[in-house]
Amino acid sequence: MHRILIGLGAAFLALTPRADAGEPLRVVASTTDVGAIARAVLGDDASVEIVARPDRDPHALEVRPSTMRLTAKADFYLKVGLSLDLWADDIVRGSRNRDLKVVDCSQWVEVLEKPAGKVDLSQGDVHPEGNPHWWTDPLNAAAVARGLADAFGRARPDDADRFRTNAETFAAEAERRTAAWRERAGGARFAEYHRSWVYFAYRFGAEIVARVEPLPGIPPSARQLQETADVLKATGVRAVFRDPYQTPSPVRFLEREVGARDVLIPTSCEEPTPESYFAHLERAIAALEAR
Amino acid sequence: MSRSIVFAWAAAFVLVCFVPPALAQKLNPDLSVIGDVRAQAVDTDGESTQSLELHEVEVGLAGALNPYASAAVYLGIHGTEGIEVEEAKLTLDRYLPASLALTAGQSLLDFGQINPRHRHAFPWLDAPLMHQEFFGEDGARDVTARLDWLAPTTGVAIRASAGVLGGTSLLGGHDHGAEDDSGDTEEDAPELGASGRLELFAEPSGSVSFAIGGSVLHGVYDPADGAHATWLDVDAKFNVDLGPARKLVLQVEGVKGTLEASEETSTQDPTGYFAVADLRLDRRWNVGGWAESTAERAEDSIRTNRYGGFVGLQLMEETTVFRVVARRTSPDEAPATNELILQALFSLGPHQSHRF
Repeated sequence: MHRILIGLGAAFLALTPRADAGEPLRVVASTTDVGAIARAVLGDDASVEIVARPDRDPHALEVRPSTMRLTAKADFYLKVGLSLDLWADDIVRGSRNRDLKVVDCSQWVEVLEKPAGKVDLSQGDVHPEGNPHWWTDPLNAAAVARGLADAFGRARPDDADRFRTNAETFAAEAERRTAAWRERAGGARFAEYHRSWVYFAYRFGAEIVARVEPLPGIPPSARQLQETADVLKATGVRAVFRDPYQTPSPVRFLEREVGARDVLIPTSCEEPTPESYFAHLERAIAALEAR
Repeated sequence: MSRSIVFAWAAAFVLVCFVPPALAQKLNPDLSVIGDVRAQAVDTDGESTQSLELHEVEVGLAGALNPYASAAVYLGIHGTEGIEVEEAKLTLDRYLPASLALTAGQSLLDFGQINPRHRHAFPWLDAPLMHQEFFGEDGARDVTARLDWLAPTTGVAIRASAGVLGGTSLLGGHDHGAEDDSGDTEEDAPELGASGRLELFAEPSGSVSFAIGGSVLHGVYDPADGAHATWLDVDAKFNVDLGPARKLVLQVEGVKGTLEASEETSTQDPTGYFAVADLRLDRRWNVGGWAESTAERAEDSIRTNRYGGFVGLQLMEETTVFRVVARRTSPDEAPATNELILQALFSLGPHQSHRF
């Protein structure tokens, strides 16, 4: 009996893969944007897996066994933070991965809309630590890239310089594009469904004149929708940014009432690559320019 | 019941007393309170009754103990029937090697895919009839020490678990408000049992995922006679992604028991099944229907069948949920019952993650 137990134990240990120091880091990220920043730092040979699809609601994700399995083999789990991906804790625990390093990427960003005073759900699905959609500001992405370079460098000291160089390259590109985008989007006005594009508007000097949701996560009543239509009519704003998972009917109403334009654009980029990350923001800028 | 109350207050006392005040705010566990209010119209053989009740209040405390372990305590308050410890468990999530986890304490048993879920998560309202009939009103729940293993596979996820049980779940028939007389004498004290489960999860495409599994419970169901029971479960769940906020969930479970003859009964082989389709239309609405059947535990030739439909509305995720359920229950040896139930469910506290 003892021999059987020892044999089974040895088999478990042998079957559990562990990353060797020389192997590329394996990363699981909550969203494509965080994955894109990680890939920019690690380079193309790294394994970067994503949990939330960009067209799905990251606030309410279904945790799947396959995700835990993926995380069981990872070196890092990267969270968006600010209570957006609370489900990440379940994934981390479910992975049973003792060596997994969990990084909250929001630690390096300039957080906007931190609520003051008492916070409760009468204010809607409010995030107590601030608005969590920080990645729509490329300078936040640059700061996260630098932070990740340090974190990855500690895990792979031999590659630390390469990670730092990659992060600086990404940050320089983000800064260059930010300056150009600010030229194009500065002063632009638009509406959004959820409080998803606050960082984007802040960085590029754009103005969000109205929101479909009266409070985060709360669908509008007919009266509130009419008020939004009145604001759009008064300001001449037509573009309404909406994520694919958000109910289209309120925007259909705005289309009929004031000729609003349904800009169907996920808050997250399509693929976990720096190219996709920048292309996504370029698409958002172009949507602001469209008439 | 009295032992449950004492245990619940003792748990609350420990939680309150052993948290240093300076850490109390930051290190408090997640606290959630879920209330289940029901208005019900019942028609049995032409006789109608109506009722309005606070069906249940669940108080949950959960959190990390350290980087490697977490704990959760769920207390159920059922109307005026008292407080019950639904779950009180410690889990070593990230402490053991080889993708193993250890759960110890009272918990809903890892028996099928429906049994481990809390009842307020069911759009069809109550535990499947077969679980109620075979194990008690809330399904199979016991004190357990269980090892979970996540296999190092790629492509499919395979999970296996094996554990020992206190044995009360095998005695069956615990209902809210019923006096807990198990263990009153040495003769009828529950004896240790065993549980096991194997589950496979796969995503053949980006829009389809499924899990299939099998579970077993084994132990003594009649301690006075030393008669054993073995319960087998097979289950499958399919998740079809129909769009950014739309999905169809199809789920089926079957249970077969083998109960040895005792002084009071002959050998029994009761069976039951549960099948449900749940269509999420958007972020707020879902509709569905289910059918189920169970044999009586003590007389397997007598069955009860039930089918029904449900509509659910979430005002803001799970914080405020309304459900309308219509169901017809047809026992072999009693008139059929038609029920129309309106459920209002409220949830205070942080949102729990959604498990597949």
